[in-house]
Amino acid sequence: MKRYFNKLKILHKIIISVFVFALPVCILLFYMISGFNNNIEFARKEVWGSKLLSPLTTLAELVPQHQLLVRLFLQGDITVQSRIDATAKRIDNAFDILAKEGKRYERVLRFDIDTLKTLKMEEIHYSNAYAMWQELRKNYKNNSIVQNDVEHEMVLKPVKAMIQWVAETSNIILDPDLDSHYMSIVAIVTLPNTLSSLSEFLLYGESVVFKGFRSREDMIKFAVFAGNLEDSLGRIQQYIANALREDKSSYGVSESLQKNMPPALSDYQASFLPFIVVLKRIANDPDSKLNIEEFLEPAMALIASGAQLRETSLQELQVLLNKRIENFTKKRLIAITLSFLALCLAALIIIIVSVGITRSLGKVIGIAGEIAAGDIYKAKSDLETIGKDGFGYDDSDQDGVRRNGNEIVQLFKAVSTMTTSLDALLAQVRKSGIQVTSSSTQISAAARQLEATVAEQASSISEVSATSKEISATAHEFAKTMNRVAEMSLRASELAGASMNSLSDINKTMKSLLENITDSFEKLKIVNEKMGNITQVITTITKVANQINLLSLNAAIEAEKAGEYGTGFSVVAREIRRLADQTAVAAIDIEMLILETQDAMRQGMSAVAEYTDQTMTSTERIAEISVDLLRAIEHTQDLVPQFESANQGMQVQSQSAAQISEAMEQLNESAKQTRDSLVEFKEVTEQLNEAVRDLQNEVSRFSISS
Amino acid sequence: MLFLVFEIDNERYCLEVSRIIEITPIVLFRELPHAPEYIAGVFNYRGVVVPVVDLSVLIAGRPSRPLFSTRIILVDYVSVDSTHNRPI
Repeated sequence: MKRYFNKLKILHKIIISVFVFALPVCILLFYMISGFNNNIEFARKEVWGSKLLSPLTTLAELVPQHQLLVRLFLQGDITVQSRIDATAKRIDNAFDILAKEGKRYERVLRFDIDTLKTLKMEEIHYSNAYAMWQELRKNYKNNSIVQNDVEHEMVLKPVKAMIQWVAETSNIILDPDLDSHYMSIVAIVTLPNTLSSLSEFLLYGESVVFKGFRSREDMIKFAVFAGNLEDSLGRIQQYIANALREDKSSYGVSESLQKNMPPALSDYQASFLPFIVVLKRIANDPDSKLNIEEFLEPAMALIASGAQLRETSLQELQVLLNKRIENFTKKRLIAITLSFLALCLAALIIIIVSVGITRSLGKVIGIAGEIAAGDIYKAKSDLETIGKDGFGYDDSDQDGVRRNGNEIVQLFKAVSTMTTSLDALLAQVRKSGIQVTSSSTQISAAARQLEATVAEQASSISEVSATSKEISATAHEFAKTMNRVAEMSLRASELAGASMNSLSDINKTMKSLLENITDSFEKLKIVNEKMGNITQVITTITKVANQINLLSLNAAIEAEKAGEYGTGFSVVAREIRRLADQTAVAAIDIEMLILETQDAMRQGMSAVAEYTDQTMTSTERIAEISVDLLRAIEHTQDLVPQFESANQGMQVQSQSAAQISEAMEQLNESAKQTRDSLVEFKEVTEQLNEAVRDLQNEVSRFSISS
Repeated sequence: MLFLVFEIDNERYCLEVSRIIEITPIVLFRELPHAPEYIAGVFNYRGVVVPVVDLSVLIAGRPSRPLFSTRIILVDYVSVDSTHNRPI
């Protein structure tokens, strides 16, 4: 529920609040208007009641009059017939009015038959009284006095009861205003009571006058009645005076009241006096004589003026009530109209305010959206236009706005400030980003250079280190070798001595060998000569073979020429040819063999010659060598102590080479560390670059004014 | 019929034996100046002066090589003795 409520827009929220607020207001309005309505209804009921009570009270006073007149008639006075008829007509009139008004108002004033039945009061309905009256009118002439009284009583009772009932149901007795209250009392209670009691008393008084004498009891009754009448007059006067007084302080002065009541009252007072005089006379003076006329005339006049006063007061009461109704109606209308106008005005104002708020908020939201989208330049220009148009202020009035401006303006101002600073910040960030990028590029380049240098350095260091290690190893080796050489030189000198002997032996051997070889050489030479001789012989043989061949050929020719005699000769020739060929072939073979042999011999000879040369050279060389050896031995023996010093020097060098190697190791380590830290440095630079790139990416989303 | 086969410049030629008198190996000739090229000279054959014709010059266009195997063929010319050379 809360989430739903939060989702609503401001306008909706305001509308909901307005409704929630309007609810109690409407309830109050409803009660106020129903209060007015109640008052109006109340007064209306009074008006209707008074309308009904008018004929009812008329009846209440006319019926006893009629009773009296009928009694007079029954007692023998026929002249009253016209008055009886007039009164009867008036009574009929009253009944008609009662019926008419009764029909109209009986339901609302709760004296229709059904309501009365439920309240077990159906006998008071005016229809009963009317029925009784009809009965009475039919045969009043034939009744006795007592019957007359009874029948009139039966007409009067329901009328009185009805007056009481209507007075209750129409709220007249509950009238809230004093002036109408007094008027109602006068018109409905006091006057009718007075008049009805007066009418009843007239009946009694008439009988007394008719009797002709008055008992003491009668006189007291008369006196008492007179006193009552006076009291009632006084009360009436007081009430009317009160009413007139209160009239001034309620709903404005009722002119008709002020105009009509006093004369009516004075009329009543005027007609009151004679009757009182008569009554007093009767009461005080037991012997005074009077006749019916004397008694009745002022009474009738009093009754008439009383009736008039009653009518007037009823009318004035109705006027007052109508005035009150009017007043309340007007008040109700004013109340409704004012409330409605106020509600409309409030709604209008609320809507204007909320629309204003939402529009301003919408503008600010639009600007915030632009900022979020990254278009700061547009946001700034929008802010300026909105600031000038929407709120009518410029940047010069900052403090004033901060103190006096409403929340929207403050929000707007804050957003404007934020946008400006964001703009500046972004421009600065962009600049700084560019700078950082360039710096980091430079750093990165320098780092790369440094790395290259360090790598070179590391490689050269490692080379130097290797070299120094080699040097060290070599020196070590050399030292060892020197040791060995020293030993070996010693041994060499020993061996040289031994070899000297061997050399002389060899020399001798070589010499003997040389002699042998020379011998062989000579022999070979002889052999070679011999070979040469053989070759000559072979050549001769070959020539001979050749010639024999020719000869054989010639022989063959001659044989042929000889013909048959030369056949045997041709055979011989042929054979000779063959032999010659064989000889030639053999000679060739021999020559080849000899050539080969000669070759071999030559080779052998040359080899031997070489060998001889070599041997001679070797001998000389050996001689030289022995000389050299001697010298070498001497040298070697000299060298041994020098070897020792060289060995020491080599060791020292070896040590320093080892130290160099160590130092190189350390350098290598530090170079490696430098390289590692360079790598880290490069990484860090890379990270920095990345961070700057990210930042620039973010910043590039925004379009700023610079 | 017996033929004598001889070679000139790798070509073999033959002569009937009836016309041949003798075959001798090559010898030194006494050259005749201003003689045609195919006349190699003259030499003494058992007391008779005989001219020599170089067949290779006639056939192959070059003089015969003076090898051991080069022969002179003595031929019975019609009326007078003639000699031929045979190169090998």
